[in-house]
Amino acid sequence: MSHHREPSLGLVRGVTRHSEQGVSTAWQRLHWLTRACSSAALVAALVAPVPLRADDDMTPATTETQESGTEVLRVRRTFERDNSQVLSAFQAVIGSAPNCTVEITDGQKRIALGTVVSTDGEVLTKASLLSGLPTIVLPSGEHLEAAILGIDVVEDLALLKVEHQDLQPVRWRDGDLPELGSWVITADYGQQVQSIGVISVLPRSIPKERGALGIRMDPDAEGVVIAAYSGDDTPAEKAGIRIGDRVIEVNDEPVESMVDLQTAIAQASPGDAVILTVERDGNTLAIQVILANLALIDPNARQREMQETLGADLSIVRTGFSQALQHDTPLSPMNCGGPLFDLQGNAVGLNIARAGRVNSYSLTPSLVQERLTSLRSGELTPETVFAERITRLTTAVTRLTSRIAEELEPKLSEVDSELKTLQESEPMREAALEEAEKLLEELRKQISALNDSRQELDGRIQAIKERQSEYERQIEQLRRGVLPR
Amino acid sequence: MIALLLLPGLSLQAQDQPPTTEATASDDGAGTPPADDDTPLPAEQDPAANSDESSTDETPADESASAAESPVSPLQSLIDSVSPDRLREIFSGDDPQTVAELAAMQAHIQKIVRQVSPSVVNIEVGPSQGSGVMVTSDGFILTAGHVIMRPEIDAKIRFRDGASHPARTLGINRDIDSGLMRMSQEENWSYAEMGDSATLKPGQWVLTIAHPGGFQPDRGLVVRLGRVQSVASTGIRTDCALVGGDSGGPLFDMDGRVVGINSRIGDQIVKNIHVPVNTFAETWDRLEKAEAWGNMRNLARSSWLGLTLEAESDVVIIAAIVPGGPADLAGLEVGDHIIEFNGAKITNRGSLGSAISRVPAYELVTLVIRRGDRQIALELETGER
Repeated sequence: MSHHREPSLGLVRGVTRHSEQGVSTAWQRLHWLTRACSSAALVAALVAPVPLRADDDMTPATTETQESGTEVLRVRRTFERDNSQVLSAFQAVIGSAPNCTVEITDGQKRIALGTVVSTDGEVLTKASLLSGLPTIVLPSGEHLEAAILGIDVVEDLALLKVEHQDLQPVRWRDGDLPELGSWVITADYGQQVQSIGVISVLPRSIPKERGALGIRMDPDAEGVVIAAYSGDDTPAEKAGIRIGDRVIEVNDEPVESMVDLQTAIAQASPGDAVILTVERDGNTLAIQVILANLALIDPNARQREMQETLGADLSIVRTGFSQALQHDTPLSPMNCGGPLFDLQGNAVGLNIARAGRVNSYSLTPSLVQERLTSLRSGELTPETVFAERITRLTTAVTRLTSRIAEELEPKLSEVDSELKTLQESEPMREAALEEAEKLLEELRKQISALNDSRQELDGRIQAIKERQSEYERQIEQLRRGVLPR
Repeated sequence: MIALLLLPGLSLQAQDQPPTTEATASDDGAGTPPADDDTPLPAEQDPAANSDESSTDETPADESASAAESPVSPLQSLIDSVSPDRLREIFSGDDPQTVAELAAMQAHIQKIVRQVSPSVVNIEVGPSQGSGVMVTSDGFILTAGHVIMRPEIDAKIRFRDGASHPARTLGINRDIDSGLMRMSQEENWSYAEMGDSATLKPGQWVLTIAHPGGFQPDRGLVVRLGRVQSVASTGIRTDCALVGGDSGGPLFDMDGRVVGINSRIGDQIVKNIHVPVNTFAETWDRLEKAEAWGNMRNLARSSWLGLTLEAESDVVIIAAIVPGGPADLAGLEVGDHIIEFNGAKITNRGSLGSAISRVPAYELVTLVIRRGDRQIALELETGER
């Protein structure tokens, strides 16, 4: 059953990483087996490397006996293009390249890989993977806290810097473009082969994907009025936008029509924050919404996304690069940011995103070097790059603060005083309740008495009626000349 | 009649022909079928001549030639150090061991990509897109059944340069997801040879080149490399990653011959299923006559072990094994007593049946069996029924 095994190769690669040069296939196979099998005895029995036939074909098997007496028969070989035997052939390439692939952590766990670009501690990585204060794990094993010198939001690159004087910078491939079908190699931290692939498409521009708010607007309303959410848990709903809200501004720019809103949102991408200013019940609210991708709202996009993620985790920021080559390496998102090597140990790119089941993107050396110049210039410091966003958020905070002071706080005191009045009337209400209960008791008694009298009267009426009909019978008989007895 | 031309074409790539020998040695000969006096082909059927004429937007022959003339780079000397025999051995299923072998593989892969790309097309039928591959100079295109959907409807074929031409869908075998089309215009189309999927072996290196996600003018064709993981008459599994839009695209061997047609994918990156190309040759007449048969529902196949159980037995004992089937490949033998399947205890036919039904096709499972007085655990990749 599929849940017996990981739906991706992540684990298999995880194993090969640790068994890089030697033991290899047996370990890898063993991992398959352990994941395919739920018998504890068998799993336990498998935790010993098994010598493996290096020759071809699926014929004779290697066997091994476990304590319980079950032999493990191995007939299969691993045929994956990136099995550990193949990966170890690439190790000679990666081992002779500059030791320029570093790990970036958030202080605890890996968040990205990085590419060393200068001897004195400059490292490029994928900006959107950074969180908190990044720490760089150098090839020497040292953990150093890094400063963020610059952020290029367009290419999703960040330039980090650690205090160090003796790093090996990446060697970019220059001149001709690599050919389609050429090998590309991604190293792990410490310049160990991690994964391989081939060049699928020569460098091109990857257009930015549209972001989505997840709302439908009322076409008949005046202005821009939210009519519905266009899915479950859409970004708009999660951020607190309500049906009936009237949008008057996006990022402080006024919007007067649906087209205005669509245009404003089309400029932003999944993961971007936009601030919507909306009117609700006569109040004005500023609400920050983080855009999602179109799969959330468009069934076609959703189906595409479903296929793209079969056996693959994708990067959140995966579009909008000026020049990227496409390769078929199954990169995991957190292993982006490092160099992509050719067979001569030169970097043909910087891994920037896993964009789909069949595509990973790497920024070209010329683009990276050009952007590096800007990142070093001091024009792209985080404060500069995020200035606009900071201003927008500050405006939103100011608005919220004044709304609290002007609208909500007066309302709060009104409510408080009403509450106080009611609380003070408590003893009076108690007395009234006691009175009412007495009255009720009295009334119940009266009702009961009246019911009794009514019953007695009914009985008397009945008796009179009987007597009446007896008299009428007698009158009738007298008329016919019969004397009553 | 086209079937007569094609079937000789198939027999041309005899399994005992050293497939890659000339590929590393010559400029453009990789896909040229070896001359064979028994099956003469008309001049216009010669794929080498054809590819020279019709590759408009690339000049593979020139590129290779200039590469050969340039001063010998360190990479080139590495490439030259690997013998054609060794390269053939690797491509037919071995793991490369050295950088030189990787370099020789790379040079050959690049060349095959250049050679076969002109034959790969994008197909637009109604609102949906897929891929396909031209396999004759007179315009027959192999694709997936689910790409063309219905016989005898109009379709649009786009080449990688964006040039678009009308075509017509022909037959479909929905049981296996094969589909045939033909260009409406008579022209000397660029094409790739059909190979023999029956000779494919696990580990063999393959390429797919197609239009994942549909035709994108600024992107063009997308190349992926992988290896055959398992072979059945109903499907070839490779680790050439596929996605929507790749359907119908070709799987090439390292002689540049079409050995499969992209069909479907599973929940892992190593689960990419291709229609074996031999089914096209076997059913060519019906496909050409635009017959449609079978049922797509049969594609959602349950998993298959390729074995028969003893009928008159309380326990689950193997009575027969299909040669080359999953049980055979896993090393099961007649007389084996199955006691566990994928973690479930097996006590009778019913419990085995339900354990199998819970496992999809192309899944790796563990079996525990009794053979004589031995108890053996082994792994098996389920096939498709």
